[in-house]
Amino acid sequence: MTDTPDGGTTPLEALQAAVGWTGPERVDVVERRHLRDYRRAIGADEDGTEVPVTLTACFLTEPPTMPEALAYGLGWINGGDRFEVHRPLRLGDEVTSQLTFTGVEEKSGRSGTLALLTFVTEFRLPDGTLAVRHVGTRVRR
Amino acid sequence: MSAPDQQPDELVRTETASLRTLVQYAGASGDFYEMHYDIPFARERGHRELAVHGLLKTAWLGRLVEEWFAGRGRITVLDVSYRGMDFRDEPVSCGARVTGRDGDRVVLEVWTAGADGTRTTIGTAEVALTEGRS
Repeated sequence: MTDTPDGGTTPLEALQAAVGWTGPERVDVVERRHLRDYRRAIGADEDGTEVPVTLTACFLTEPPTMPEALAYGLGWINGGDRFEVHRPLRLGDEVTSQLTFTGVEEKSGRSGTLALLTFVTEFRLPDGTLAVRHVGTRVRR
Repeated sequence: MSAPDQQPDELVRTETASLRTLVQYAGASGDFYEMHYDIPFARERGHRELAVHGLLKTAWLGRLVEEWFAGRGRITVLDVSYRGMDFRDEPVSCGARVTGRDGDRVVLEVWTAGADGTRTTIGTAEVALTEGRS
């Protein structure tokens, strides 16, 4: 990235300054109808009651709404996802979560320059127990 | 696949996302990024077709491993990196292969691949064995 014509911060600098940004806190419940819709969408038996390891993807705000990210490049690409399950979710569980922007790395590739953004979200039960930790790598280019 | 000692160490199956699949996934997940259902939007960004959500591919991999180990263990970690895009109405191979075992913890390599065999997702899964330990 290059300096802006007015001498202000570049999109990369704005992203670096935004590390620590958090999205709004949200509360979600593992509901029967939603679970059925999700299981159907991923090809699982829709009548099953097991909560797929990836269900918390539904409780992420995708793509992230962070303004500094939208100012870099033209669009989003998903770079990677990590789900760490500390306590498997069950039907009826309520989880509280908040997206946190934890880092940015700029890379140059065949298709030009891009920014790799890392977001961490912890999903906690009402008693504070960590159920799932998600790390998402999202790309702006 | 009921007898633990007779478990294969690799499992592969094919998934294909239709437009309906992509819309169903968008609705269930809340990810309405237009690249997955709006073909002019996707083409403006240089893509030849509607892209399959990366998280849908991860969900396929998670389901593959969860169904493989059903009743015997549960996934504790699923970690993937997307290396290429897959598109609607094109077959996607989803694979998992056991690469290690440490006590009650099984480590697997997971991947998706396009029709030409190029891996479009690579990663690992960890399973904590519970009942019916092998």
